[in-house]
Amino acid sequence: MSKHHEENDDEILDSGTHSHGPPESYVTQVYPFDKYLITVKLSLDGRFIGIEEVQINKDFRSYKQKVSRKIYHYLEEPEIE
Amino acid sequence: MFYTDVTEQRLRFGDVLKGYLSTTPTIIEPFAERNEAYNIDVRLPDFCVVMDPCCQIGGGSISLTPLIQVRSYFWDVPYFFEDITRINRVMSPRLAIHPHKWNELTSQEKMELINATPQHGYLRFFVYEENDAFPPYNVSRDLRYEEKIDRADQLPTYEERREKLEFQTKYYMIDFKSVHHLNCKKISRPDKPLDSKIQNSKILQLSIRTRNELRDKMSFYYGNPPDEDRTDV
Repeated sequence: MSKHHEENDDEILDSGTHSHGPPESYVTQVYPFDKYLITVKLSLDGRFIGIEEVQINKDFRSYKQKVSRKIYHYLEEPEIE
Repeated sequence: MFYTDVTEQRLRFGDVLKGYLSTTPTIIEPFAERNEAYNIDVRLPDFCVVMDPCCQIGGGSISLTPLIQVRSYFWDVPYFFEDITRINRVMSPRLAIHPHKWNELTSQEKMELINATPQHGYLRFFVYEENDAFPPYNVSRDLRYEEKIDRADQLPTYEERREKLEFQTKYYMIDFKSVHHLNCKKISRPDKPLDSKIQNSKILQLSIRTRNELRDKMSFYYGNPPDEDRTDV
């Protein structure tokens, strides 16, 4: 769930609303937190830059429940055809 | 104690019985008309287990499931090899997963299992402890799994070794998916005198503790909602 954003100099100049400086490069990563999905911005070397977006997670299962469901799958005998 | 020393003069949930037919109908697809091909497999298993709750036994009918050999898959799991009846109770997912499956997990998935709380697994199955009433059968496995630490992530891993393992066992199991229904007028309610033929067909009775374990696991089998039926609110 990560997106890589890299703006080149031309795009910055064309936009007209940015200050002139080095191009901004970052990745976004979505983390589920309780009933929310937090999109955070990280520098390319993994440093936290900021929060880009907070969304309601439409899948209302908690992380704990999801893990639990996955574990049932691990503890199943393979199907015999 | 897995079984009671003395069996009661009535049928109970989980009892091991002898002399009851097992039937399995098979169809190719749902019938569009009345006279399509089908097959009904009728067998006389060595033993069947009573699947009705104690208070629902009677009225000339009963739900049963055949006692079957323990699936050889389970003997590969060291945690079960030590005590195969661990299948019946909440188990550590880390220890209960098949070694081959464990080796296919990512480091993150392994950590999830290591940190997971004990829970029921292999929901369909319940193991019956070995008993002199049961005939022994052979188990043969070709691979042996030895636990080691993976140098890359410092997590456990299993080394597969080709090594023949053969032994005899009298452990059996039931599969909740194989429950079938049978009519017999001699099957009466627990509060009525039991017919002598029915009494003679009763081979073993579970102890209260084991019957509670069977009840717990079967309740969990039916009471475990699928993802789409789960809600947090």
